[in-house]
Amino acid sequence: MLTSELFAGDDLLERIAADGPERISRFLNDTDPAVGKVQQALLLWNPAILPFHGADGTYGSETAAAVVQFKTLELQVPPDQLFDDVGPRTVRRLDEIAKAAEPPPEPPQEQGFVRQDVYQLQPPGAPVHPILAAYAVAVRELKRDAGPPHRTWAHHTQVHGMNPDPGDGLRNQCQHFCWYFLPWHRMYLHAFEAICRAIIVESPDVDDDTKATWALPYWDYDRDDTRELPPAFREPALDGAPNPLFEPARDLGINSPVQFRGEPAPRLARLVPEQTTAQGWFLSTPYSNPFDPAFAGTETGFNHASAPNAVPGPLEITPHGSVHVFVGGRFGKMSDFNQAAGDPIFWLHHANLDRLWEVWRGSTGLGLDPSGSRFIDRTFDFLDASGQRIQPSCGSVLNLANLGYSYADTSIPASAGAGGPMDDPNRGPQPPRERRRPPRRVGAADEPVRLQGDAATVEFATDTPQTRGNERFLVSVEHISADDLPNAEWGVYLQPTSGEPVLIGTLPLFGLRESRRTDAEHELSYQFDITELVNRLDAEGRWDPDRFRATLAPVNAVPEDAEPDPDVVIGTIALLIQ
Amino acid sequence: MAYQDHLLTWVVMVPSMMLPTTVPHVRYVGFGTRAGRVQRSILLFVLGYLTSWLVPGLLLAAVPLPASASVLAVSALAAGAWEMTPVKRRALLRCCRTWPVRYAGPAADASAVEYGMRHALGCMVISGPAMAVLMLAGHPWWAVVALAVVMAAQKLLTRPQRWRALVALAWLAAGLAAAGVAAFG
Ligand SMILES: [Cu+2]
Repeated sequence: MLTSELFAGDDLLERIAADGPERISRFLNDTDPAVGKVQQALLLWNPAILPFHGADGTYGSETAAAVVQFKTLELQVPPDQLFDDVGPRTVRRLDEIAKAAEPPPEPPQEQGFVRQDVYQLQPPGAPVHPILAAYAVAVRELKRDAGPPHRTWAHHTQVHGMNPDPGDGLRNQCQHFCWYFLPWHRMYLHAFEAICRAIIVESPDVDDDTKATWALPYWDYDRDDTRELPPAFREPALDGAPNPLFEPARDLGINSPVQFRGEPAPRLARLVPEQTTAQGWFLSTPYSNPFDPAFAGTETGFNHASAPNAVPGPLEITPHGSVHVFVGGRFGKMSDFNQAAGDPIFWLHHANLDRLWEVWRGSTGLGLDPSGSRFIDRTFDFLDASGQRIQPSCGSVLNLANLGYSYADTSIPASAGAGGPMDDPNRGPQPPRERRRPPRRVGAADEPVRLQGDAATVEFATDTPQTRGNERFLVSVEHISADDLPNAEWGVYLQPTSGEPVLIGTLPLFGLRESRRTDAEHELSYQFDITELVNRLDAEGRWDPDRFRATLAPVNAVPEDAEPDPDVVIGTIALLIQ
Repeated sequence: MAYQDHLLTWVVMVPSMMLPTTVPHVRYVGFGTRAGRVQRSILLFVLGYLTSWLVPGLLLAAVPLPASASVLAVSALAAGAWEMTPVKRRALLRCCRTWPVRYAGPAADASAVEYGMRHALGCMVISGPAMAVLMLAGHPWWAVVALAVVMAAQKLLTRPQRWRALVALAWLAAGLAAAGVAAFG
């Protein structure tokens, strides 16, 4: 078996090396393609050995003489056994020489880290995958909370949210409801991942392969077989010790099966397609607008505050907010800014959102990265793997190649086509439309909408233009207040003039607790771009330009043991055009 | 100066200093209502806003002006201390908070007035003490300009709570200066 790139796979050379009867000589196989390879290998041994003809592919007297010289000097063949042909020992030795001359394989470097799908690493029923076992090693070490700040679980949790604000510029920094949401979390994960890797590399419990390639996995929950919390995070014990990836403060049904209302048997809680669909974010462009969220959220200053225009982008609502609240429920960590990053699944959830940003950047958002200095030069502070304070800028994290990692899969999710517009073969990436003016209301509910029981409806007259241009249609759900998170996530559905209601979006209410604090800047508000939906219904003759009708209903099942539902009040629902 | 004159000063001073800081909210109200009635809603917002500010004006105008240097010193120091209270900090954080605006009809009228009043309440927590000191000092023009700039910045810049200590120090300096005048002037 030949191993050099030069020789391996050559039929004749393989047969000779395996002590076959064939030879290369001036009379046998003297113009076989193998001859050129032998000549090249001889030149590697001695670059001056074929002075007249070089590697010309013909076994002439110069090559024959060179082989004799090779056999004498390199193989120490005694003069009485010398033939001027190429036999097994010559091939094998030349193969070794060619192999040794090859450039060494690239050492694993930062470019090579690949974040992988947690369900593909470890499907239900499979043993704990080494990548997840290594993650558990890192989380266990961090949770000791014994090292310098960057080596503690508490620090990483507080970086996201902390009350009161310690004012150190490092903690309580999470960016939500705005265009910094994606880059800030990308930096946050990248720093955390590097620190985990440093711990893993030091650990005696992790094998060398895993040490060399470890990267944070991601949880892609938008497939029918991945809608439950990944198995490695549900087990209270790991190898006879407490499992650091387990977190008891999660919603009913997340860690173990429970009985859901009106169902025959207990089961694990499962995300429904409404909570994970790409339908909302996939078609959104451009990256951001000053007054409406576009893809990534409105253009604000630091934090989820400071302007009446702070609104999350569609990706930040679904799946981001939906999955947070799905795992956390009313009492769990994932529902709370100050505790969310304390649940080890947080990092896999955000790795997936970071991946979906990449999906968008490579498809609908191709070439639409923000370019203004308010975005590009905006920096945030983090601690790196050595504990040094670093200040990456948003511009520096746009390209994953600069950060040294990639995702195993950035193909467009199946749910992106739900609703039909992507089936249109004429549809390509949309040119971004400049939206420098705020959208204008064309109708709104004239009283608050209360969400209680099974459903609520809202209906109002609208002043939409009689002739349609390329207006953008937005549904705004504003000033949401509640004593607590509801047991189910509510969906908003547009009621066409005929046929079934169509999903506009869901209201995860992630951030509700923060919005209820006495110093909170805002109540929660959402905006949904329904332009595609309106165009489709209009084409089908099912869009009423004079009247807006919507229904609201829970999208997922509620456990039998759930607490009574709190009051949720929506201050305003409005239809806007731009 | 007579009561009416004091009140007149207040009525001129408050709108000219405070209304510019409400621009983001005026826009919000304007964009929230039906196209044909934008001006009406904005007018109602301003009405609600200024009516609320009139209440403290009615009381302040009864104080003989300008106040003595010692009263000024005490009130400036109090205004400085107010800067550092959690109440002021919270109000600053909440000052960009919006309220539901109705689209048309009487509901829209009522919501605009209510919005103006609610927002005025927040502004009074933020700027009320400063405005009172300014009034007591006999509203010298340079102080009016300086304070207008500070208040606009506090309301319109992001994270104003970060430099409220600086504002408090400025008040401390003003208070000490007034105390100096009271003692030696
Ligand atoms: Cu999050």
